Amino acid sequence: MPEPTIVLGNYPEGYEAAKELLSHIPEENRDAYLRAFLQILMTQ
Amino acid sequence: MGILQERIQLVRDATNFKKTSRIPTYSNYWTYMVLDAGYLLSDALYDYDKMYHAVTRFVEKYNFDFYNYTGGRNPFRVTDIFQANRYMIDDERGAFNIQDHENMSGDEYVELAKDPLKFMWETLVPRKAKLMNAPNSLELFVEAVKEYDLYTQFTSRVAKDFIEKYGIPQKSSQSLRGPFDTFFSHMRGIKGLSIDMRRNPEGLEQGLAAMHEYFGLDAQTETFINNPVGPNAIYGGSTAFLGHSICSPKQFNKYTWEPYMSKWLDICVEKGKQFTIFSEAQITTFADFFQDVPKGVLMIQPEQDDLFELRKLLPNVALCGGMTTVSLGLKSVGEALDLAKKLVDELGSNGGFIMGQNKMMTYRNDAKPENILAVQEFCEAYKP
Repeated sequence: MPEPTIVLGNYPEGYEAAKELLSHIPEENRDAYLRAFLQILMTQ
Repeated sequence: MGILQERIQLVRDATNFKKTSRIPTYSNYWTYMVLDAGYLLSDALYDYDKMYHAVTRFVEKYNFDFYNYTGGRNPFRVTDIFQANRYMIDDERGAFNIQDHENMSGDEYVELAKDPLKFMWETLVPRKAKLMNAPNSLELFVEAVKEYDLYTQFTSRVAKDFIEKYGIPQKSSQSLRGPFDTFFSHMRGIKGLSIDMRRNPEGLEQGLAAMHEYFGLDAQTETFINNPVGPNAIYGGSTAFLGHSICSPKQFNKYTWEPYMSKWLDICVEKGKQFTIFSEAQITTFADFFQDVPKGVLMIQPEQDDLFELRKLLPNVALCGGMTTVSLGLKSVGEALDLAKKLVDELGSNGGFIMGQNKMMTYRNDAKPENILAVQEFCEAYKP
């Protein structure tokens, strides 16, 4: 059976995949970056 | 003393009810800046160079001492990628609006409280950002990150130039918000939250506790206690009140005053800091709460309140605002100046007043440029 596609909105798989895509952000700052990004999508 | 430090001291002194050499001025102009520069909203909101020009042109033309809006709201280039944008831009009217909305239902507090990040990431935000579950959502994320980084470069550029090029201070060192306003504006909406306060207060309490933890509000309070006011900021702390507009005094006490606002003000008194509140709707209903705040600690920027009546209730609180859209947008220069003089004479003759506007100035007709300039020149020259 093929692996299900990971989409951004899956948690934790999509969240972790997004973290991997943030190669330009130091690893220790990626959670904070994603939370700020989520905040933008939620509030703006 | 450079202009930056001069402005910081001027506003602090006015907040402290000290007579100042001139009346400080505050800009509550938002997308009006874009329209005043001759751009369409749909242009400038998607073009950071145009937005930068609109903001800096406004600064150079009107020369306020500090600003509520510096061009960084509504990063549509980011939110559009996920179809997360709920705003409707009307270029003909020069306006954009948002409807009241619910991103979570009233029976989801338990799920939220179990794991707020999981709930928001998987459930709440995808209701708004529809493409978060699209097959190509990770590719969209890569695009959105590039746009988000451009957006933060723009806001950083404005922030840097405000301080270094224009000598304009930041309003505060630290912005503090309790979670109730987040439920009001972004999670349950006006109608949903009003219902929850009556019919599901336990669920709401669970949700508030979970978001308090999620936002790290204890750590933010520790920072507020321990960190000094930054060198480029006027106030130690600031907040905005929106959700209070659906609260009774008892509810305001329960959700905002007791857990947050009173504590922040106590910290200010203990640490010698000043605090400012941007209050939408009206705050007069809750004036009692602020009556014992020592004079000089707090500045409130009200929206719908009558400042003259509010001053009678709160002679201990500095006020900012007063110029109405009617006076700025419809009246003659002379009539606008009559109001400006009345405000200064009755509210600011011995400090305690900062000239500002009574709402977030948005539409072209909210103000005539000549009226804005006249009031600015008046504040520069008038000695009450």
